[in-house]
Amino acid sequence: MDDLSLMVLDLSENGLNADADFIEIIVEEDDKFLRFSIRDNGFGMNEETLKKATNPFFSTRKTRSIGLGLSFVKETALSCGGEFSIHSIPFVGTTVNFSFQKDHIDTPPFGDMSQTLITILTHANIKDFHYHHQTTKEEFDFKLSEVIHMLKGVDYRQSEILSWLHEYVKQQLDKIRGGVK
Amino acid sequence: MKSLEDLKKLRDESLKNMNMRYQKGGTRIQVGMGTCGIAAGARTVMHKFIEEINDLHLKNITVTQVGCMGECAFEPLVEIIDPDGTSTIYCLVTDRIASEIVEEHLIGGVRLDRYLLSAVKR
Repeated sequence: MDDLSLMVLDLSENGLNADADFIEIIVEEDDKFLRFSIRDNGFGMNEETLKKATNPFFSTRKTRSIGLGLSFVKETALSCGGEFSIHSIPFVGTTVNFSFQKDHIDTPPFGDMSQTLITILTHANIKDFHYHHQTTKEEFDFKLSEVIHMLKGVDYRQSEILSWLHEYVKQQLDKIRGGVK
Repeated sequence: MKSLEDLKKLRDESLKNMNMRYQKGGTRIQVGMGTCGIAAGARTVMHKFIEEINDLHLKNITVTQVGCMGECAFEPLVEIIDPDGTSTIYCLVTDRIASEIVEEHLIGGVRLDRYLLSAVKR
């Protein structure tokens, strides 16, 4: 997992696998930190499962008992001067918060977040999706409901629209982040 | 700079040359997006498919992502479901192989046997 946008995708997949149809990603950055929050409305975890969730040798999956996503993000964040926490309520959803110290030498690059967004949108279960990105000076908001509204009945899951959305998000993020990779 | 308002134009154009082309019976491309797939490059492979299909104006093909497909060592895995329901699973797919799949399988209608999971796994 080479960059932060891939970690965000990986953790969003956890929500989608827990039958979520809504994902919200919030990114806040200042001079020192990059903070991420990923919230889903999936079936969540009880306290017992939650305690084990960041253990790489635990997984609720039946095929294998290894679960690398959460444990990897947690270890990486903590070793890069950041924090990690996870909250979950059964049948309500799960929120994962983590941060990275921007000038820490081991902090991975930000990566192509626009690809992550479009990838989430192509999941068959997604009904609503929010992305909010806040820098010290600017912000960018993306709401799937607005896209659906603009398209008035035309399915956004076709390649020409997904390509367009990808370019659009990329431009907006480059603008507010000043092209920082 | 694009604005979300421009989507309306795209929508109108899309409707003009659509003629109900996005009905059922099309081809589906499913890319495995588990941790294993993501780490192996599944996200860029999926975008390669979206780009090529858009650039070549191919109709009636939907690209979707699915969870872990269960063969982590052979990720990225891509399943092509043809309009007649035939399923083909390609493994260790790269951007270059994705382009080949678009040209040979999707346009040419020829299965690329050398990239099949069932062939590589043996």
